[in-house]
Amino acid sequence: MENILAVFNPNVFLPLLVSMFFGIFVGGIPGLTATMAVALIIPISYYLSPLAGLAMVLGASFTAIFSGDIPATFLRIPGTPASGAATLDGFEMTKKGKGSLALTLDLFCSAIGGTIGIVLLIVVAPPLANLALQFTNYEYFWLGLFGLSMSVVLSKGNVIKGLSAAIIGLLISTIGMDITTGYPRFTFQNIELMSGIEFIPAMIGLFGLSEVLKRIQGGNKSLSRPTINEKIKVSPLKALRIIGKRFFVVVKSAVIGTLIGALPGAGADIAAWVSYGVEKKTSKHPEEFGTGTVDGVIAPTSANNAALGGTWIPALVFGIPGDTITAIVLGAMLMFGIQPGPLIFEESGDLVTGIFTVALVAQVLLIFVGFVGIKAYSQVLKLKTSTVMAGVVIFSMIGSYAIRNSFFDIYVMLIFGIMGFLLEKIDVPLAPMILGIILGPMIEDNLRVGLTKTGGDMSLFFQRPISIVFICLIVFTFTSGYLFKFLKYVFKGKGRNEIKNN
Amino acid sequence: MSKYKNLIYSLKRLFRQVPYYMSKYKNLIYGVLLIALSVFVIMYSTGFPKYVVRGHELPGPSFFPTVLSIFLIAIGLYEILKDIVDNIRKKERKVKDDSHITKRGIINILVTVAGIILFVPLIDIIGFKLGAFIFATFLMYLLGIKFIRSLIYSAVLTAVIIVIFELLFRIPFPQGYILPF
Amino acid sequence: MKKLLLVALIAIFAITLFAVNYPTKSITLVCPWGAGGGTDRLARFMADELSKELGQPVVVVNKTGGGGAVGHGAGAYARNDGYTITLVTLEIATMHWLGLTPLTYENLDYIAQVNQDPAGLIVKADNEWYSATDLLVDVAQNQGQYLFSGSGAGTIWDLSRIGMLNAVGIVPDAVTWVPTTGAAPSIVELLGGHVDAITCSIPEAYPQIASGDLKALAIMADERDSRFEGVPTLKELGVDWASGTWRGIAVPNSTSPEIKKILEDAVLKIASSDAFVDFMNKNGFGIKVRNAEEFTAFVEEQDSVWKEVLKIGGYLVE
Repeated sequence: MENILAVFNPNVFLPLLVSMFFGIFVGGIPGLTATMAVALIIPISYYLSPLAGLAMVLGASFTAIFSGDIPATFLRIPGTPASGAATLDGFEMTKKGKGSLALTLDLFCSAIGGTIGIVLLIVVAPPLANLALQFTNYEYFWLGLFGLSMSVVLSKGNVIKGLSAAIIGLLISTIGMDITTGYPRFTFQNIELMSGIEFIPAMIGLFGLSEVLKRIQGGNKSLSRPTINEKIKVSPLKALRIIGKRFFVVVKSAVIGTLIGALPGAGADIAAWVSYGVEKKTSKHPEEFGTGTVDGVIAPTSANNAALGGTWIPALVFGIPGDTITAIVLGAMLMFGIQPGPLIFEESGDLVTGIFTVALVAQVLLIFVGFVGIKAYSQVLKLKTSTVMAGVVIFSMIGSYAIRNSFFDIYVMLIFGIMGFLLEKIDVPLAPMILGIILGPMIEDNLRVGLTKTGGDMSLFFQRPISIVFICLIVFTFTSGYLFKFLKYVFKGKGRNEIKNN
Repeated sequence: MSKYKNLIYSLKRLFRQVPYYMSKYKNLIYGVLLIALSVFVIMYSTGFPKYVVRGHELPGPSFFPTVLSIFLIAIGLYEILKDIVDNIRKKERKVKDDSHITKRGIINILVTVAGIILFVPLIDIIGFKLGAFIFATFLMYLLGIKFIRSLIYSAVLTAVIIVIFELLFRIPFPQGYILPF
Repeated sequence: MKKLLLVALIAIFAITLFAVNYPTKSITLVCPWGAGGGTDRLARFMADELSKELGQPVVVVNKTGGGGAVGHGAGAYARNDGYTITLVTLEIATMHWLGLTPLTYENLDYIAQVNQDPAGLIVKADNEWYSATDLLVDVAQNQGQYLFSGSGAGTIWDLSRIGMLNAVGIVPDAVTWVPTTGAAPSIVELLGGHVDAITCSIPEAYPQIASGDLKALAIMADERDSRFEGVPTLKELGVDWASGTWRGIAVPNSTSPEIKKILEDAVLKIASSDAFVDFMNKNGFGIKVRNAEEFTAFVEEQDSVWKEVLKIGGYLVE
């Protein structure tokens, strides 16, 4: 009990609150990521108690992941990599004048999803961590392919063009040093390309800059209007009613998010995309996805915050980082004199209880801090579109530069911006390309390292139980449409015409 | 003389029709580009080293790019054929992005892109902060904000950037050779 | 009046020539690895201490990519005025042999070394290998059967493995190297039973060793580490091989000797402080201090050592 009340000690509570506002700020600016926020907090936290320091990390990371959805929803510019999937239906809702509703839903789903992730962390961390240990190259390969099969789901009816985008994304991911030989591929003697295309500048370009180009292509008349054409009215009750009807969607997405987050090789970004795809695939109205449906907002935003809880599972149980944030946290624990790893529950049990409590309290605070964030952001967006677009260009450039202090990445951002603009002109969806860039290394590296392990024998890829589960899921993704029609046809005699029309 | 005039006239007419043909055959162009990219990738990756473990050759650096390119060629061919068939049948494929480009819009885009390209060499001379301020002012003015307002907004924007990136995140911005700030 | 001005000018010129006034503005410390990692933590600690020592702010800039090539390049090709210094890591002696960059160790002048982490040989605790000898004999008898990991291909932990096998006359191909993106994912692979042994620094795997999930069979150093007294060195077992990663401070080559002296004195003073020892212990970094002269000789020797090992491993690009 004492440990639980320790959270409300001002020495812990105040740093937590401050860091949460800081997280809103960081997440809302493209190019500043939650990882950078945490790296910045750590040196400050050495002057505080370990619990206060970790509270700051938790607070900033949870709010930053939500806050990344704010520009994703209002401007189609993801503030953090985990917000990529929030651009899909969130931004469509903004176009319909329902942006504030989308963000209110987003906020509650983030808090509920985050809570589910933390509860799973508290209750079933050891078994989940052991499950994660069963994953090796074979399983990660299939998980990657499963994620990629979502690109078919994401391509809004234009499957061939969606596939082409996904493959271009995969090809982009092959730039840089090869995993098994270290050979630099497609780098053209350019040292900046050696470690591959930086993901964040590519994403800022593909979504952010291309959106700017799209808006300024029609001349300046439309640019003198405010950026968002709606009165920002936040109505929690309405949002809660909608969520109440879809609570199962939230829970399902949060569980998927936590599971993926718990894998050391996958994080919140993949979690959001996969749960969006799964939701669309299992929805009764898949055709509404991508047009601004609430399910399309709920699924990814519940999953990305839940995934954060998931990343702490291998970190606490094994002392192995689940993502870059927990990697930094594990380093910080050493500085506090805490040895992370399996013994932490025995040696620093108080601290672990404290972490859990802080994480849960942070979810409640997130709702209040998040509202402030939405309000503040919408104040800025009352400015004329032209002002905001100019600002977005400047922030896109500086954000791309700041990731690794490289001018080269400004040009990467520019090239991807132009590419995104042109591809959308010919109806090629951009989401599968992002998915290809994220999943490329996961698919290729795990296939090739897996084959290295077996000496070229493919059979191990098909024999392990978790692999088989993924294979079934992939087959289901591609065939379920036909399967459902077939079942309908058999059992009800309906759908005869639908099959003929295909 | 009139011969040349005719030639210039017909060239002009042809040139004016470029946007029309580009939009009519845009899927065909996309297909050709995909195939060109794939062929380049396949040719280029033949130069990658082989990956041999204890005498067995395993899929090496060129494996994944090559496989992907083969898929991409198939998609490219599909796009080309489909576009030809669609054009013969005069079937217009629906495009969701129904926004139009205006002349002013093209200028906006070209100037913005050129601005980003020139930004890097510019800040080598005058430093990051002044460069960001000038570029922001310029962009806002281009997009139709009054000059004085552009100056004020850009000053605020630059101040915000300095506070966030330099003071808070301690990301040092590069300084210029002439103006060291 | 004119004469006075001339004298004044000459005086100013003379002062700037003979008495180096350094530093007069903020110094950039280039870290070739990402924010939040071990090298970054060391860089930030050194930056704070250096700014106390030198009276000017020292700002860490992470320039990552190319397996360290981008950051080392940025540090080496900066102006040699002492205002850009680099946290140099072992990769400076391997990158150019791997064909990643034309940059060699000669592009930098070395100020001081502050850290060295020997490689450890680590297996699962329930494994029937009880010593490095058991493992090496088994590997020699069952070639091609075991999977080793630790980090990427051609990285220090891979090279440590190649050097160890080579020292007992086993070809590197006798075990399969499973490349990963770092020590942490390799530890996951080992815990999950997907590989048989890993080579990485012992502190990196310490949480799992402390909990009894993993055990360290040997350390690839000249003498035992006082923090892990029970772990024998390979040399004790008759295997003549020591290897590990190291970190230090460097400046672009032909920086003025006065500036280098000021920096060297500052770094060596920091390295002898209690705060430094405390920091290194907490972070699991091994302390190894070499002054400019020793460090330069050491880097030169390392460059030729790794060329040999990379050649044996089949990584050498000439």
